[in-house]
This record gives sequence, structure tokens and C-alpha cells, in this order.
Amino acid sequence: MKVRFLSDSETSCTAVIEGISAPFANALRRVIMTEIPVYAGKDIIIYENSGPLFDEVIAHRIGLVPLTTPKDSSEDSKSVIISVDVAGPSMVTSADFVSEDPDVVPTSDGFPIVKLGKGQRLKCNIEGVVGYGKDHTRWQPGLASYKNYPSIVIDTVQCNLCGSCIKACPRALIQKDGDVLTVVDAGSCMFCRACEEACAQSNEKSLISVTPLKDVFIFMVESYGAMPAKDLLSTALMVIENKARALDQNLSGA
Amino acid sequence: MIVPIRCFTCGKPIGHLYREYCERTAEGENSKDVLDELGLSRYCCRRMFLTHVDLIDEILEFSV
Amino acid sequence: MSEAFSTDDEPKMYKCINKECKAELSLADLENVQGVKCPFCGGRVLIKLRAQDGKRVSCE
Repeated sequence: MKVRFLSDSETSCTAVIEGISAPFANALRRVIMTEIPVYAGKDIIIYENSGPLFDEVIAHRIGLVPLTTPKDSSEDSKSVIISVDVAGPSMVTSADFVSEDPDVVPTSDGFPIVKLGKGQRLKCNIEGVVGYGKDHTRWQPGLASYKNYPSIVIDTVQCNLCGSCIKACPRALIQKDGDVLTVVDAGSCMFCRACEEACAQSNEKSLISVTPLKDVFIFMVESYGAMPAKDLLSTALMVIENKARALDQNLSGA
Repeated sequence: MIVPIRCFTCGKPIGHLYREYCERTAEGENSKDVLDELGLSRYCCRRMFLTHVDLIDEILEFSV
Repeated sequence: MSEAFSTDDEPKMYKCINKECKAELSLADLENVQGVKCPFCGGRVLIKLRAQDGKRVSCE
């Protein structure tokens, strides 16, 4: 098994993973989106709301604000109270959230909750709880997706350098290098097979073949801010491991 | 009404980007360039801003 | 002004919207008058006040 990171930042990372199966890649993708424990608002207790939006609308908006989550959080982590008390005229944003736990705060200060007019006031407490993306989007820590890595093989012996494939490729991945054709940045290929078609039209049969490699994946993770993108991958693997362990224990007991 | 906190379709948090989007497009910058730079690459997130009508100021005087 | 009229220490649940009155009323205040009426100014329009201990709303 081999892993190579193409890009890696706080908010997103892309890796080429060699030697895993599609079912496993899919399990990883689904666990990242649905089973990673993160903090988000569960209930809010409203003491005063004289602004233009209804209590329920404000509760829903506050719930969707992503909160940072310490790495060792789990279902059993205690709930966090975040208090908000703003008097108008002003825009209530996530910068007005005062959290009792400095590790559980909004990922950005700029989330607008409601705009208050003169004399209007919003006072409430938010109860932040650890939950899972499978229950509601507000606990979804990010997005994950994958695709097969392509194998683009050009029959350089029979190729007459007509260049029709170079013109056909919408992402310009095929280039002429001296008197051979080379593929640059194969990972960007989207399997449209326009090159195969163009080649088959200019020649008797296609001298290019584009096939997905069955056990090499380009895995893309995008984090919504609860934790760095790379941590989503490792946390997801831990979740899978714990599930397998729990099953194993029950098997030996049965 | 007021900018949604997250994209309806994919769930990406977008609400905190709206102010910058408004300020920059008001200065005459192209929406496409601003959306690209804000990191809204999918068309589900892009339509959130492109089609949003901010009406919160209209209802501000009507408190609950 | 409303505090001066108040008859008891019970939690205030309603408020008279009469501009000159604005009395905050408990349930006990309303029991002493016939029908729904402000016992101080006779105003018939009362609005409900928000509960003191807050209202729990689900974020869903």
C-alpha cells in the first residue's frame, strides 16, 4: 500500500492511495461524512428575542454554525454552553458567541445569525453537543470523494503523430514531446475518452486506451473547519477500527 | 431573507463569505473571480450567492 | 408604575399594551376581573410575555 499527497492544507487534502479496494474507499468516504464525532448546537435556550426572525429560524441558523472540535472528542464528551447576548442595532455574528470551552468555538467569526434593529435584543444560550453527520448536516465535518486513477496507454509504435487526440482532450493532458506523445498530470483525466474516439476516427482503431486502475484511488477530503482535513482521514480510520473491534469482541462472546 | 449559513446541497459553510462577496462585487469585480477566490468551486455553493436576495433590512422594523 | 399596582409576587405572564398603562400581569391579577381585561386600565388587549426561565428550541 502506498500513499502520496498531492495537496494538503487545513481545509482540504488530496491523496493518491494505492492498494485499496473500491468498497474500502467508499467505507472511508461514508465514515468521514457521517460518523466522525464533532460539536454542533443541539438546543438553544432563548431568554429574549425581539429581532425580526422567529426563535426556530434563529435556532436552526445557530445550529448550522460549525464549531471546532478537540481531537479526542467522543459521544461521551460533555456538552458546552455558548452564550450570546447582543443588543441592536447590529448584526449578530458568530463573533458574539462566548464559549465556556476555548476549544469549542465557531470556526469563523463571520457567520451572520440575525440582523437586529434599534431596541431589539437577542439573548440565548447554545448547548453544543457532540453528534454525527448521519443524524443532521450540522454535525457533518466535511466532504470526501474519490475516483480511480487512470491508466492512459498510447501505442507509440503505431502512432503517426496525427495530433487528433491532443486537440480532442478537453483538459489538454496529452502533449507532443519530440516524436512521442506523453501524458501530463494523468490524475486530472475525467475518463471522457474523447482521445480514444478521435484516435479511432483518424486511424483504423484507437491506439490510445484509457482505463481506470482498479486499486489506485485519488481520494479528496474537504474539511468544514471542525478539524484539519488530514485529521478527518485518521479519525475516520479510527472509527472503522473501533467498529471492527467491537464486532470482534461480540463474535468471540457469541 | 438573510444569507444561509451553509450551502443547501453540499453543506459547506458559506455564510461568513457573503460580506466579502458583496463588498467586492459592489466594487465592480467579476462575480466569477470572487467566487473562485473564496473557494466556492462547486456550482451548488456558487448559486447560493449568485441567486441570493438579501431582504433582512426590509423586515428589520417588524420585531417578533 | 406597574410594580406599584402589582398584587402579588407571582411570575408575570401578560402585559397590557395600553401606552399609558403597560402593566405586567400575573395570572392571579387576571382572576380578579371579569373576562380578559387589564385590572388597572381596563384594556382588553394583552400580550404574552416570554417565560423567565427561557424557551428551549431545538436547532433542527
